[in-house]
Amino acid sequence: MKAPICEVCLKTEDILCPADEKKLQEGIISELDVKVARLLYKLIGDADVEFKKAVEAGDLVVIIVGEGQVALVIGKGGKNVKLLMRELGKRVRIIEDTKDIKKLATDLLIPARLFGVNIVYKPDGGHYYKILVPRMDKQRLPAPSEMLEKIISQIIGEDAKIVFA
Amino acid sequence: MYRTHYSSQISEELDGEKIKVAGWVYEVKDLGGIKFLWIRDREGIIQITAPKKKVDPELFKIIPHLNAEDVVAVEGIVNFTPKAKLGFEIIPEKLEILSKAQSPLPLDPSGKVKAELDTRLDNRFMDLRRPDVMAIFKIRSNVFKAVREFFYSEKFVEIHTPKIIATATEGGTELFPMKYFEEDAFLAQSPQLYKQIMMASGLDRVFEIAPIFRAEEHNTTRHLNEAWSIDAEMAFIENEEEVMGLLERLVTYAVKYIKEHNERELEILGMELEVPKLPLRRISYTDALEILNDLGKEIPWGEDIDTEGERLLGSYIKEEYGEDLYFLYQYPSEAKPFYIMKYDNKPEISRSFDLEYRGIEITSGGQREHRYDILKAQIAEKGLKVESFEFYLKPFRYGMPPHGGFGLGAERLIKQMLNLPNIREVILFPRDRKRLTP
Repeated sequence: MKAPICEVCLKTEDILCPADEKKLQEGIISELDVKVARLLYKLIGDADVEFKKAVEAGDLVVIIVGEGQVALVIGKGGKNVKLLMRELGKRVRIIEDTKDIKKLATDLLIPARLFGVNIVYKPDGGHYYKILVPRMDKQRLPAPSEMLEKIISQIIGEDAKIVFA
Repeated sequence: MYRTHYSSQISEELDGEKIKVAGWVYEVKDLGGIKFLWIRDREGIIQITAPKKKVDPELFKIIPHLNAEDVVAVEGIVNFTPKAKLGFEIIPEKLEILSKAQSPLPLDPSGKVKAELDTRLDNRFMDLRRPDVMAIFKIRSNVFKAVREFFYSEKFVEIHTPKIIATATEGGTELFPMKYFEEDAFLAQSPQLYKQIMMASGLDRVFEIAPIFRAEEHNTTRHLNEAWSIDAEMAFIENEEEVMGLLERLVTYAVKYIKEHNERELEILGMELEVPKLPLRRISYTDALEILNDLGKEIPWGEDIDTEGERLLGSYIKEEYGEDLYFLYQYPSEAKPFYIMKYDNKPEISRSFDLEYRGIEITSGGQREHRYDILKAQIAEKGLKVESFEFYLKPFRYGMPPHGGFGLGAERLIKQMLNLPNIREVILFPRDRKRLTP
C-alpha cells in the first residue's frame, strides 16, 4: 500500500519518523491522514492501493484512494468500511482521486444527482466552484450541504458552494 | 435579379403578365405531356405548369431531372386558373438551374419526416426551409423591430456597452474567461453596471439589445449560454412602479405587433395570440408564497421561488384569472443583487420585480440604489469588496439621478409568446452546454 507516510510509519503505532513528522508539522499531511493510513494498512496490508488523503467535516470522513481502487478499499460486503467507521467513530466514504471536480462532486454527493459545476468569478478577481444539485435531491445528499462544501474545498484546495437549482 | 415577385406577391392583377420567380425545388411531377414543378420561396409555394405544346422543348426536358432542393429561377407568364391548386400557375418561358442539391438531404424540409432537435440544429440552414421553423424567425425579427419602435417612441436612446469586461460585475457570476492581450478578461454577463453608469450621463432613458454570456452548466429547455437581452434603464423615476409600467407597455406592444403583422406565421404555428390587458396583475413575493403554500408547496420566506414554484403559480394565475403575464414584485432584499434599492421603511424588502410569462421569468428589474453611501453599504453587506466596484461607483459621486430598469430575455419572451417547448427553437444557432458549432 502506498500512503503519504513511509512504510515504517505505517507499521508503527505512535511515533512518526523525522521526515513524516516534518510533513505533519508543515501541514503537508494531517493527523487524520496518519490515522487513516495506519488503519488502512492494518486492513489491506500490501494490497496494490494508494491512499492519497483523508478529510473530515462533522461526522463524515472522506478517504481518497487511487483510480479504480475504491472497491478494494471498501472490502467484501463493505467489511473494511465498517471497521474504519468503528475505529474512527464517524461515517466513512471512499472516493477515487481525480482532478476533475465534476467527477469528484458526483462521487461524493451520490445518491444526489449533479446538474453541473460552474465557476463563479468574483469582482475581486477570485473565484469559487458552484456545485448545482437539483432541489428535489436535497434530502438525498449523504451529509448536510455545508459539511460537503467543506470537504470538497479541502480536497480541491479552493472554495466550493453547493447550490440547489 | 432572378426574382421580380415572391409567391405571396402574385395576385390576380398579374394575370397574363411575365414575372420572374426563384426558389428551391419542392416537388416535381411528370405526367408525360405535362410536367409540374413546385418551387418554394421565403413566402410560400409557386406552381410551374409546363404543357409540352406550350413550352420550349429544352425546358420541358429539364424539369423531370430536377432534384428536391435544387435552386432554380423561372421566368414565365402568370395564369390564374381554378385548375391550379393554389389558384394560379406560371407557364415557364425560361428555367435556369442556379445550384444543384446533393441527395440524400440531411433533413426533410417538408417536415413530413420528423427529425430530432439536434439533427435539425446541425442542419439549421435546411431546418429553416420548413415553413413553421421559418415562421418563428420571421416573428423573432418583428419582435426586435417592435421593441426598437417602442423604445424610440418612448424617447429612449439606443446604446452599446462593452462585451469584453475586466472583472466580474454584479457580485460574482458564472462567466466565460478569455484572454485580452496580456490580461485576463471575461465575456459580459449583462450590461447592468454600464447602463446604470449611463444614468449619470444625462442620456436619461437608454436601451440596449445585445448578447449576454453565462457559463452556467444548466442544460435545460429555458437556458442558453449565449442569449439576447433587451435592457433598459430610465432616470428620474420616483418608484419601481414606473419601470413596471414601461415594461408592461413594451411587452404588450410586442405581442400586439406580432398579432397584427405576423398573422400568416401565427397561422402556420397554429397559435392564437392574446394581447394582455393592462395593467398586468401584480403579486407580491409574500402573497406568491401564500398562494404556493395553499397549492401545497412550501417555500420559506427569503428563498427564491424555484422552477416548480414558478410553474405552479403560472398555472394558478391562468386557471384563476385566465392571464399569461403577471408581475412578481417586492422580493426579499437578501435574494436580490446589491444595486437594487430597498424600501427605506422596510429594508428587508426590495424595490424589485420579475415579469412572468406562462410560469417562466422573462424579465428581472427594479429601482436601483442611487445614493452613494447606501450603495456602498449594500455592496459590503453582500460580502463584496467596495474597491472592486470603483469604476461603477465613481459616477454615483458626481450626480446620479434616481433610476431603474430591467433586462428582458428576448429568447424567453419569444419562446413563451409562441408557447414553444424549447428555447433552442427561437435562436438560430444555440450555444448551450454541448453546442459550439454550427
